[in-house]
Amino acid sequence: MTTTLPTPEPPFTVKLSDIFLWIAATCLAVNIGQQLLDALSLHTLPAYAVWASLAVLGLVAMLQVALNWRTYIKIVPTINFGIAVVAAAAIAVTAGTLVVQTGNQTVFYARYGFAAPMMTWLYLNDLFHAAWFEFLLALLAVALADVAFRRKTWTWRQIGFLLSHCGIILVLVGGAIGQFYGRRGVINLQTGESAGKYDEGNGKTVSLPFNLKLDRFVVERRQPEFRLYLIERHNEESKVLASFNAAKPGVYTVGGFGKIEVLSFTPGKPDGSENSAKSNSMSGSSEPRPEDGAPAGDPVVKLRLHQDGVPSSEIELRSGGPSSTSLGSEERELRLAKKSDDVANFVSTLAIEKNGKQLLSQSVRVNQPLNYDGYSFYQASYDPKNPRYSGILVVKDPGLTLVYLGLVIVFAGIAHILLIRPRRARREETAA
Amino acid sequence: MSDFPVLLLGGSLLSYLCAAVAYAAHLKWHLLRSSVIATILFVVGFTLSTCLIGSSWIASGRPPFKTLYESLLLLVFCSSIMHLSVERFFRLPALGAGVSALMTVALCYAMAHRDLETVYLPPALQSPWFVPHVLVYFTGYAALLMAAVAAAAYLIRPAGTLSLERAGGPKPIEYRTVMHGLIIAGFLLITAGLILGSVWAKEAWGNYWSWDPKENWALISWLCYTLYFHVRRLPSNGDRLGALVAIGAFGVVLFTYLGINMLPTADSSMHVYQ
Repeated sequence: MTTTLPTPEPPFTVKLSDIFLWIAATCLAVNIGQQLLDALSLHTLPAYAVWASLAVLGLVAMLQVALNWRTYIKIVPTINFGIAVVAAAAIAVTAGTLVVQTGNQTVFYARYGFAAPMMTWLYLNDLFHAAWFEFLLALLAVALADVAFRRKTWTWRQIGFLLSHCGIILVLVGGAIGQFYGRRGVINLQTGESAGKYDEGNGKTVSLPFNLKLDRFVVERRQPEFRLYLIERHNEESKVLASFNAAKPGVYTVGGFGKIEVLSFTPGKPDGSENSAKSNSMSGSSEPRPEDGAPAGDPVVKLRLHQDGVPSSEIELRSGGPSSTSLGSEERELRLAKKSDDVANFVSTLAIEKNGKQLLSQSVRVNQPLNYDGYSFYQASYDPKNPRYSGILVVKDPGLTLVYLGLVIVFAGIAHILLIRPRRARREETAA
Repeated sequence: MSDFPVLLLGGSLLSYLCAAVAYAAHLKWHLLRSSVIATILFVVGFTLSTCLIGSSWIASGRPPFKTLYESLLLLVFCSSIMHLSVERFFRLPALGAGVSALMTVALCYAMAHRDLETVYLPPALQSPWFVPHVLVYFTGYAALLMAAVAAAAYLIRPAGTLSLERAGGPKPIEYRTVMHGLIIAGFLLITAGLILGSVWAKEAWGNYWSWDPKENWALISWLCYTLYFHVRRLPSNGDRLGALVAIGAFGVVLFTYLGINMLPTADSSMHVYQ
């Protein structure tokens, strides 16, 4: 009598496309849930309708999980699921860089026209704070945890796998703690002023457990540098072709133009006026801007042009009054202007005060914050028109330690998987 | 811009171009002499581009890593070091043709985007994190660039091998092995770069992650290489898929480096080149 062996079960596989569809459908369901909650808070729908819809949505989700829990248990630790979740996260982040992120509905609708309502419904205008995006990150954390524990990765051989996957979970958890329990706001101070509150935006102010006083504020500037710019204009657009230090006499060659001979430079009076540009705390522009209506005694450069071997007569340019000269062509001009990125740094001397006593005093500049009692104070901005003003950013992030710990663990785990484990395997192979 | 840096730039460009031709000749006809000449020309090009970076550093009084032009020179510098290390320690000159050609392209692009004047570092970039963050990232980019070259070679000739010069005689090494080794190096470096950048961002702006477009694309690059390591483990055609992902991921890296300005969200980015 022959016995037929049972046909072995084929290994469990799910198509990547099916997993993608499942992820998309789940994110959509979460988005509908967020829409309903927003409708409740904005009173755009009756409360009973919202709660009924949420109940139906929740019931459908629970039924789906209850009826297919065995499939979910099999799918989540598979490599296909991991690939799908990572790819979905990458696609979502890409979308967030392609769609302008703004809470200003007018600007958004003006830009995206008929597609704007659907894009807003999907929270594409604030994608990184949308519930479905946060759900996607939570799904990533669940997938990482599931695969790390199901594969029994707490052995020395698998330690890298455990560390790298759990490290990412720590970063996500730390980030979530920071987002929900963290604080962020601005304090606007004049020199000599102190404040015990900061502005979180939307008219909300939050108290500090101490006072912050601005003892001193200084804008550190570089030595002013005046430059000669050769500018070409085409149809209202201008382009700088060449730039020279006006204070350095010499002959400068510009290909396709000729030579510019700087004869002399007179620095003029020290420029005590602030420029009228709005302060942007971090960026600087290299566009040349002539000083507006500067008094007599402003910097002057004398030069001569050499084109086709023929020297011109002496030309005088001032950074104040007429600062440019056309060069025989309406499309080209030579201009004397001060280099605009002369702010080297801005420094506030801050003091922490409590019950009338000074507890701490420290200079704060960009890249050098003041840390006290869980709060961090950053030099954020200044006003070129008001030399006594300093904008201080206040941040409290209880999740920061977890995030940093997670990042270190991720790196250690990846290094183990990619460097240490293969080397050990090769050594064991050679020994065997 | 004075003539001396232009001469250095032009000389470096020419050297890399000639090195590319010599490496290609070595690949085609296996001439030892052309391999030696190629290496010498590559080293000359590297020396000239290093002198250019040095003269920029002295002239500006700060690390020359800020503008697009300066970053292109840094990329050439890091890629050259990576290639020379691979050639010296692994005796693998064959990638030289592709790398030299790409260096030539990068220097041509740099030539067209030369800085007209020294741009000072804004306050946000005046930090001890600036140099390590940028150096680590660009060295990672260099490794991933070479990996993309190896991946392309693997896709064209899946069974193809390179000749690993060893004391006991040449040993064949598969393109995919070279690709994988370089991606490991590059991935570790960009992971370190991402971490350094996060720590620096927290110190400068109060937030280790702001969903800034540049940060997002750095994350997307990292996720793409994470995908590479997972896709390789798929049972069917994992290596071929992995090579495709490696090339696509390098495209993402290139966009992260050069393409952010094109995004509609570029205005909100703190990282846009000036």
